[in-house]
Amino acid sequence: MQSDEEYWRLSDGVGNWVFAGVCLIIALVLFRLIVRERVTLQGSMSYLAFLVVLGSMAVFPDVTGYVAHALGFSTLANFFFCTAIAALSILHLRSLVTLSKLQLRSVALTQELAIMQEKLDRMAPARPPPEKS
Amino acid sequence: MRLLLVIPAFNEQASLGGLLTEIKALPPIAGVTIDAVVVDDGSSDRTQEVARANGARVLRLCRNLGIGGAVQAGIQLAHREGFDAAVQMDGDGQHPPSELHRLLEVKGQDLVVGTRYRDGAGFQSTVLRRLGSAWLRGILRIVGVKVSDPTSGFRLYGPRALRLFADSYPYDFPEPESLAMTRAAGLTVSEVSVAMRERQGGRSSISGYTSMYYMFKVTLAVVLAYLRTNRRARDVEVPDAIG
Repeated sequence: MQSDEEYWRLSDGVGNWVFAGVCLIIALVLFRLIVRERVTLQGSMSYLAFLVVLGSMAVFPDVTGYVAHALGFSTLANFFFCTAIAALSILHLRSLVTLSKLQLRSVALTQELAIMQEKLDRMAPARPPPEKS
Repeated sequence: MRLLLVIPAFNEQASLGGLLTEIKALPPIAGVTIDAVVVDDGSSDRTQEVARANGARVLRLCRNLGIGGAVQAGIQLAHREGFDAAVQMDGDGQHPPSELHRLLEVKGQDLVVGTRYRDGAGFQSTVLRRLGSAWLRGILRIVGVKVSDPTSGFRLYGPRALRLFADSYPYDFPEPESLAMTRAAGLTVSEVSVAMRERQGGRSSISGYTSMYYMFKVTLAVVLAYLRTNRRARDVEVPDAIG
C-alpha cells in the first residue's frame, strides 16, 4: 500500500502530459472526420465529451488525484483505466443502439422499396420490344 | 379466399422455374384464388428473370436481407393488399405445391405449420438436423408451442398472423422464433402432416459452424420473442382468424 505522499507524487510525472497529448490527437482526428463529413457532429458529441473529460484528468492531475483518492482508488492509473473503460462501454452501448435502429430502418426501407417497385412495374404499360436495326 | 404464395428466393434460378410450373399446374381449389410472389432476396443469378418468365409477381430486394426479411416483405404485401391468407414456400423446391391443400384444410387457425416428421412421409432431413429440431421442440414446448417440426418453412398465415408479422418478424433463422411470437401474441398455432422433398437446387444457409450459432441464437431468440411479444400483444387488437 502506498503512502499518501507517494500517491500524490504519481500525478506529477510526464505520463499525464503524454496521455493528454494522445487525447488531443484523437480529438483532432475526430474533428478532421467531422469536417470531412465522415462522421456527424451530433453523433460525435458524446465522444468529444469523453475526450475532454479524460484530457482534463490528465492536465489537472491534482484534482484527479484528489477525486481518485476520495473514491478509494489506490493508484491514479487505476482511476484512469476505470474511467476510460466505463466511458468507452457507455459509448459502445450507445453506438450499438444507434446501429441496431439503423439496421431495422434499413431493412424496412428495403422492403418498402421492393413493394413500391413491384406496384410501379404492374402499373406501367408493357414495354414495346426493342426495334430491330 | 384470396391466397398469396410467398416464395423467398436467394440464387434459386435452378429450382424456381420447376416450382412455379408446378404451382401453375395445380388443380383449382374451390373458393380459393391463388397468387404467387417471388421475393428475390438480392440474388446475383437469374432468379428474378426466371420468376417473371413464369408469370409470378416479383419483389426485388435491393440487398440481401436474409430469409426473415424476405418473408416479411411478402407478408407485408399480403397484408396491404388484403389477402385472406399467405402461404410461405421455399424457393428451393423443398415444399411441393401439391401439398398446399393440406394446409388449407385446417380451419380456424392463425398459423398452420406443415410438418414432415409426424407421419414420416417424404424427405426426413439429416440426423443432426433432427436432433436440432428436437431441442427446439423442447424449448418451444416451454413457451407453450407444441409443434413437431419447428424449423419448417412451409406454413400458412391467417389474417391475424399477417398483421402480427407485417409489423415485426425475426430476420435470421426466423421459423422457431416466429412460433414463439405467435403464441405469445395469443394467436393459435396448428400443424398438419405434409411430404417434403430434398432441395432441388441452391445451397442451405445452415451448415458447419453456422449450425452451432443457429442453435444458440434461436434458443435465446425464442425466449426473448416470447417475452417481447407477450408484452406488445396486450395492445394489439386483431380481427378474426380465417375459416
